[in-house]
Amino acid sequence: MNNEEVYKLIEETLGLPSGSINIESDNKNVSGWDSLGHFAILVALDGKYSDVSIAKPEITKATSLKEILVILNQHG
Amino acid sequence: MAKNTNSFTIEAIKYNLGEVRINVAKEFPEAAASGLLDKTGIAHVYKTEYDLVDFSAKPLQELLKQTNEQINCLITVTQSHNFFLPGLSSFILSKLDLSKDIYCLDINQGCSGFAHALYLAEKLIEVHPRIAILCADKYRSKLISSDRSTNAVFSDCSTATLIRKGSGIQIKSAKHSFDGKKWDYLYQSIDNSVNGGYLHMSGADLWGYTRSIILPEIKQIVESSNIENLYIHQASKLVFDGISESLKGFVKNIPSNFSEFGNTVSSSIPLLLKDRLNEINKGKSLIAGFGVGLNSMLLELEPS
Repeated sequence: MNNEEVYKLIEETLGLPSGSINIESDNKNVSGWDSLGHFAILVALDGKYSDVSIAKPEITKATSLKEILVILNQHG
Repeated sequence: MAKNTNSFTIEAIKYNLGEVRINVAKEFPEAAASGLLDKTGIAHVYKTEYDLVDFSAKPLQELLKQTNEQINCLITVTQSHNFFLPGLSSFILSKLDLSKDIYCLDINQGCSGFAHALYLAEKLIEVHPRIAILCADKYRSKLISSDRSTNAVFSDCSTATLIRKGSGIQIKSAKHSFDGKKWDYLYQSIDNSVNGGYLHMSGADLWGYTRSIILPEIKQIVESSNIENLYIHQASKLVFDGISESLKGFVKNIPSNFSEFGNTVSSSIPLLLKDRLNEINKGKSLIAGFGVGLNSMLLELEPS
């Protein structure tokens, strides 16, 4: 897992242009990252990173790239 | 695991969908363009402007007309009350001028409500041989327009299901789970200062709950029993796929209708069963209701 891979996944999930997501992105500064967008991001991450939502249920509350990356790194 | 031997059939199901058909993509064009709505899998949702009593009485009236006989017991399931008290059954008895001898029970549950009602109906059927389960919810009246995750999935619907004592199916096992600590995943307060009095739903948390709690419970049953039909609450494509894709190797028949009706809350499972009465009354099936509370009820049915 690298950061760029996660950025790209979230951009594709929310239908955003390449380069829209970076380490400072969160649900307050990204268009489409509302309750529905958050739900879709979680499902996309879970599919890509082998059931991370089951191993790390706290990811459902992660609303920023910083938080998501910390959890994904712990998940391995 | 509970075991019971009362046999019954699910004889008929009538439904009433909200009369206003809403095109979700038109409501949320940005979500449609980005492909987000493809993930919910729901193109249209339905809203009613009718009063809850009128909205829910219609399918029961049709059911009684079709079967041309009275019921002995009425179980209502709703979280869309007009009144704090009395419960919906009082208004239904009055509206349809039904007998004072009918035993009535009002259940305050959401998406798991039908499964809870069927569980209780099976226990009551020994003394009340014809039971109607009336599910009715108007969640769309609870939504704030800016919340896409709720507006894109919920539909208003009422269903009436007739359960009759006699040879058919029986409950082989019933497994429930109640986790009150997760109540804040899905709630609506009486107090308007809490989320404006609107429905709050954390879709991500609910999805996580279905994956980490509900899926393993369903899996445990289907792996140990030869389940032919699995009827899951129709929350959305994301939730349905999150469960069904892990079970395809174990259960052949996992029908869905969320794309046609949206998430109709307590009516979701009866809507799924309405065209499958022959299937459920003869096969080995599992009904999986889960939602508000949070709670779940898994009913394993087998031919009697």
